[in-house]
Amino acid sequence: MILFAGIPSESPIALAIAAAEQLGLPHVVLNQRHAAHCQLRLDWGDAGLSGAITIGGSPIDLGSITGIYARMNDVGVLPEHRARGRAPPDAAALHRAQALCGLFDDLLEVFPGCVVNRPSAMGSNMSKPGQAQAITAHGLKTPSTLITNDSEAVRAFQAEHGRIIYKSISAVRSIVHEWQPGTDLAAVARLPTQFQAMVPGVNIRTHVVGDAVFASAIASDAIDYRYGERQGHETQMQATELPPEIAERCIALTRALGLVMSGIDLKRTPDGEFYCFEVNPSPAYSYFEEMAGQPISSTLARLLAGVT
Amino acid sequence: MRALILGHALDPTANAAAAALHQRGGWQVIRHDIAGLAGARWHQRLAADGVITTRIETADGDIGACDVVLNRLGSAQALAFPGWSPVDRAYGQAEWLALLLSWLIALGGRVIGAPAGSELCGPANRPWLWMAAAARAGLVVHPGGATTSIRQFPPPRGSAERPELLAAAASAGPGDRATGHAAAVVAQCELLLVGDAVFGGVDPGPAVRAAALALAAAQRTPLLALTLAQAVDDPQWRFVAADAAPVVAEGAPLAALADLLQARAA
Repeated sequence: MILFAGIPSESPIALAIAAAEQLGLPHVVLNQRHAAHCQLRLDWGDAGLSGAITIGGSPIDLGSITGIYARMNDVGVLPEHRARGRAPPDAAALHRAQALCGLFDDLLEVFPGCVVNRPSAMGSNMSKPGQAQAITAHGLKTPSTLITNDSEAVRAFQAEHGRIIYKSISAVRSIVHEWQPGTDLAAVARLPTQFQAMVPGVNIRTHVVGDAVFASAIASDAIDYRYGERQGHETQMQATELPPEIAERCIALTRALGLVMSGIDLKRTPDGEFYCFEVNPSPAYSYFEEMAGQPISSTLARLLAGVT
Repeated sequence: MRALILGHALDPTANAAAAALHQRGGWQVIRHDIAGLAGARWHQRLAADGVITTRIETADGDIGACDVVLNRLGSAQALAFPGWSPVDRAYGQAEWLALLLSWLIALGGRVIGAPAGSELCGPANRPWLWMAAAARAGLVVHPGGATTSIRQFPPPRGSAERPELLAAAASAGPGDRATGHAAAVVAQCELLLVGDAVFGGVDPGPAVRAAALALAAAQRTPLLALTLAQAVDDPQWRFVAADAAPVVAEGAPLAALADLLQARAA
């Protein structure tokens, strides 16, 4: 039995649940919005982990669960735990939800079956240059990069590479912008900033699910295709094939980061080279499944059910 | 040889290690806390093929590539960014964390107290992760558990409270509550691992010592403190908890830490 956890209406969870239903795979859903009404027990004994979860009914033995797909949110941001008008949030309900979600996070870490993905495996997302070291160690190139709080170094880097972009290096999402020579660099002195040589070519978003690889080529004139339509650029997407050695490196990189599923941002240059920008450990794959017709959710559901 | 010791000015391990290296002679010991690092001029270059270089210009010169680093850095949230908005401050802390992680990862085996995941001086595992890691390493884990409702899932009779097994304690309603628990303990001991050396007032036997060293190796941390316990009618020493940033400030463990720094620098 598959356990889905998160907000069931969120697209990646919704698609995975729909896929399990379509494939006839047994599953249960832990709706995080109802967390205050669910119960969980974990025990560590001489036989290892055991436990049970109650989701609005009889307890479900954790031993009957084959895989877990979780996209949990910070409990405090959910609507039912916010203040309503002048009424403060229900502190007891918030604490119950926090206790459940905290223990559920522990379950995700130590559950012996398939977990997509374990919270501790999200760590590489906290440092993009740290993650880049894992990327290059697996035979994938990354753009030439400078992280500095020295404005003169930025100018020298631009002179060396021509067109350069800047973006965040942490898990905080940022829109990629091109840096134009002559732009004020005073802010760089206050906080080290990442600059990268601009790599020309086609963006290829690659999703790894276990041993399966789904690559989607993205046609967009925007510097950051994720925000292209907002900036008036059209975005088109279609399924594509990666060279086998690139696909194998993507699988190996995903495993090395402790992930079962990943969203890897690649770019194929006009001369056929592949560059890797980053690995997303909690990919919102639904956009790519819907735009490029990739069977990602059904592959995920089979993997979680242990069905080949 | 140059040793870079990172941590708060009052960190007893950082202070003791610095003093021990000075006493041995032949060392240039450089101390910095996280604010000192944030005040430096940074240049980190990553080439397309993965070659990474970091230059960190401070009053002590470039500290980007010392011979060995003892890392005791805490959270990047110690960076205050006075005058910044809360959103900008959180962003600044996240970006500094990312850069410090990248630098320390690139230094590889030269760092004692290497980062793990998103932790600067890790691994700062939750208790359940330590229990699973300890079991994989061959240690027998002291029985314990947690429940979000003692009414629906009551702890075993005779068990003791172990609140840290639940990330967030809570009342679960009238007459109910969430709690962590563990089997009652009749004896407890601490082991301190420094490199290949194991220190402690009680000898738990060669099998436990070997498994403890295997746990440290699997977690890639040469410094590790372990808490072991014996349950009622059971002479077996069982794993309870671990700390990958223990205090090592005196005696034979401190000498072993100085040896370890010397070996890593060589």
